[in-house]
Amino acid sequence: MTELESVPNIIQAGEHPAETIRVRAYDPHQAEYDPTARYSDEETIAIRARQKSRSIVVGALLFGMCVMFFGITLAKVGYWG
Amino acid sequence: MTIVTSGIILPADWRDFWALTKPRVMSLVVFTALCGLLAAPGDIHPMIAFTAILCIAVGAGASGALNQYYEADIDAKMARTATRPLPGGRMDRQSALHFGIGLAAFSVVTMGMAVNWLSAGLLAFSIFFYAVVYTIWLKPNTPQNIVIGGAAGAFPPVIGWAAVTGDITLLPVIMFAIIFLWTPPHFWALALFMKSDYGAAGIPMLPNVAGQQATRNQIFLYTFPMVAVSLLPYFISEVSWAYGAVAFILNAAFLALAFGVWSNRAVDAADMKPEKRLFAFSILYLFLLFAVFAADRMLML
Repeated sequence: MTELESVPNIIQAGEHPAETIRVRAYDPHQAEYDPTARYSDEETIAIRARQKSRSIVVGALLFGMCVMFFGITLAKVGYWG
Repeated sequence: MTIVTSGIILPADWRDFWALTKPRVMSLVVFTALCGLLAAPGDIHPMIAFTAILCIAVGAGASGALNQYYEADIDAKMARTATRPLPGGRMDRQSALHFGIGLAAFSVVTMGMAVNWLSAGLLAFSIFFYAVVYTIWLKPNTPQNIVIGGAAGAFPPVIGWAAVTGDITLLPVIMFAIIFLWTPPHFWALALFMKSDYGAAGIPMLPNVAGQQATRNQIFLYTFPMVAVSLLPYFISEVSWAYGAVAFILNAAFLALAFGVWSNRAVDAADMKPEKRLFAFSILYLFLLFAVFAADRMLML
């Protein structure tokens, strides 16, 4: 593994090692996360769109879990069937 | 390659988390678990039955996520798996690990509290077996990986049965044995025409270690105990003649296709039509066999 490959979030843009760009990792868990980084409007829209779709899915799953545990409770206490 | 938009790594999409659970594998797991649940004697509340199947599906998803977490480097070397979320660079490994552990914990605890602790224990063991025994220990080290590792995929009908009855008798053990003995011919047929892929990833699948002809011999040999075990429920009078008739036809077709593989001498994947036919039919075989088994038992009970 080269030194370049061992560093996460460095992407080689061309064939020469100097032709690299440092990728700003959005994930706070990653070592290169920079909370002060500024994102362009286009980047912000892309990030927000993914956050929104993930939030909708997580919300739907949590709601489904609430309904399921309510159903389990009713079944267990013998109220339902 | 990492997905980069204007030089940033985007947060993982929810579809990537879904892909991490190996939905197609999960569908077979859900189906066999449902068959085990329907074939079991006794009553179970529909809500509890739904919860049991959901927990088994989520447990299978956890196994898939943990498997992909550990095998990200191997997946990157195989054309079939290179576009998965981790080798595709769409997700970091830590997220996959947390997701897998979270799903595993949720499925086992929910199963234990809502259904029973025997099925929860079996579910926990099957996740451990797939994610640790198969993925970490067997797969990279021995050409018998899918023989022993096949046990992980054979647990769902037993878990489904245990969810209803709270115990394990001979019939769920036979269901376990059918999937266990079905796995080697199914996977080795795939490994024959995907040999170069597995070779590139350094996985010691049987065709890469023992050769193609030895693998074809093993496929044919493993078919016989599989046939015997799948007919066993009929011979011990646990199912009706309807299952016996369907099982006989399916097994005859499986044997004929396995014979076609055994007599094939092709070296190139392009000439391995018998292997591809057997692989495709083996999936249909398991679906039909278990569907008829469950239907027969439901009508008998």
